[in-house]
Amino acid sequence: MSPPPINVKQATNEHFARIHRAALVLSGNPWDADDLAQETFLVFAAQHHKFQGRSSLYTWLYGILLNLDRRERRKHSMRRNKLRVLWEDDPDKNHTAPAAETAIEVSEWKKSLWAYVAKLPDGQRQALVLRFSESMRYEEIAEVLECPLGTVKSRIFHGLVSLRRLMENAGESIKHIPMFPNQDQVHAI
Amino acid sequence: MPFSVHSHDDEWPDVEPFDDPISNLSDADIDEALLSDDLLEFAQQLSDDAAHLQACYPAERPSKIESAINEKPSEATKSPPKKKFRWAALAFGAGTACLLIAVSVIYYGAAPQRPDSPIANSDHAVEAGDSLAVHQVGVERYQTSTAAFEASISPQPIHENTPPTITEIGNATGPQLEALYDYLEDEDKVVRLSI
Repeated sequence: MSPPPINVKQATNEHFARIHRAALVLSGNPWDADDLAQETFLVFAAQHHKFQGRSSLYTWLYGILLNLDRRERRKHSMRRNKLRVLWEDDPDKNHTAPAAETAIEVSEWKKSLWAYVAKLPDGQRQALVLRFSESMRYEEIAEVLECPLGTVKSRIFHGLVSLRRLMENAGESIKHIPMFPNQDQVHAI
Repeated sequence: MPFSVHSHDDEWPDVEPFDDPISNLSDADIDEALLSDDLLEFAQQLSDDAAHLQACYPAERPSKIESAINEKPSEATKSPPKKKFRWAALAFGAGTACLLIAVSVIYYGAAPQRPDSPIANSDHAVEAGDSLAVHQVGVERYQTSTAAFEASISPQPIHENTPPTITEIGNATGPQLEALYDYLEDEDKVVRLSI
C-alpha cells in the first residue's frame, strides 16, 4: 500500500525550524547550519516521492540531514588537511584574518556546550543532538540512525562521558561555563 | 549488538541498563537509569543551550527552497524518461556491437590468403624448396644432399630427352642459385629452368 502523497510546501512549513535547529547544533556554526537546512529541503523537494511511509516524515528528514552533515564534515576535513599543507608550505604568505563580526559570532558559539559536542565522533554527536536538542524518543533515534536501541543508549552515555572529559582537558567544568545573558542559572549550580 | 560491560570508567552503572527491555520505561526513566547526576546535568545544559542558540539564530527560509517547492515535478514523468533512455542506450550499444562483428567477419573473410612460400604450391616446388634451403648454407652442404636434390627435382620418371623441371626458381636467393649452378656444372645435368 503506497503512502499518501506528500504536500511538500506544508511539510516544509511544518519541519523547517526543527531541522534548522538540529543543523545548528550539528554543524557548530550558523552559516553551515543555513546551508545544511536548505540542502536538506532541496533534497526533500526533489525526492519526496521516494518516501515510503515506513517511518514518520520528520525522522526521514533527520536522516537526510545527518547524511548531508556527515558528507560535509568529510569534505571539510579533507579541505582542512590540504589547507594545512599549503599553510605550512607558505609561511610568508599573507593569510587574512576573519572579519570582526564573524569573530563575535564564533565566540558566542563557543560559550555553548555544543561547541564541545562538535568535537565528538559522529555516532555520539548525532545521538546527543537528536536526544537533547530535538528531544526525540530513543526508538525514533534508533530509526534515524539505523542502529539498535542498545547502541543509541551506549552512544548517549559515552557521548556525555566524552563531553565531560573534553571540558576537563580544556580546564572547564559545567559549574564554570559562562552563562548567556538573561539565562536562568538555577541548573548551573 | 554485543558490547563489553567491563569498563574502567568509575561512572559505569552496576546494572546493565543497555540490555534491559525498555518497553515499560519512559525516556526520562532511561536517562535516569543510564546517567549519573552530573551527566544528567550535562544533558540539561545541552537542551538549554540548544534552545538559546535557536533563539540567537532563528531559521529563515531561503528563496531557493521556495522555488524548488513551487516547481512540483510530476511523479509520473520522473522515472519513465530515464528508463526509456536506458533501453535506447542498450539497444544502441547492442546494434553497434553487432555491426562491428559483421564488419570484422566480412573484412577478414574476404581478405586474400597470404601467399605461401613461393615454392609451396606444388609437390615439386616443396621438395625442390627443401633441397634449395639446404643449399643455402653453402656449396659444401649441397654436395651432401645432392642425392636428395636429384630425387626431388622430378618425382616423375626421368626420360632421357626430358630434362627435370625446377619451378619457382625466380625467388631463390643468391647462394641457392650459385649452388644450383655449381651442381649443374658439376653433374653435367640437363635441366630446364623457368624464371
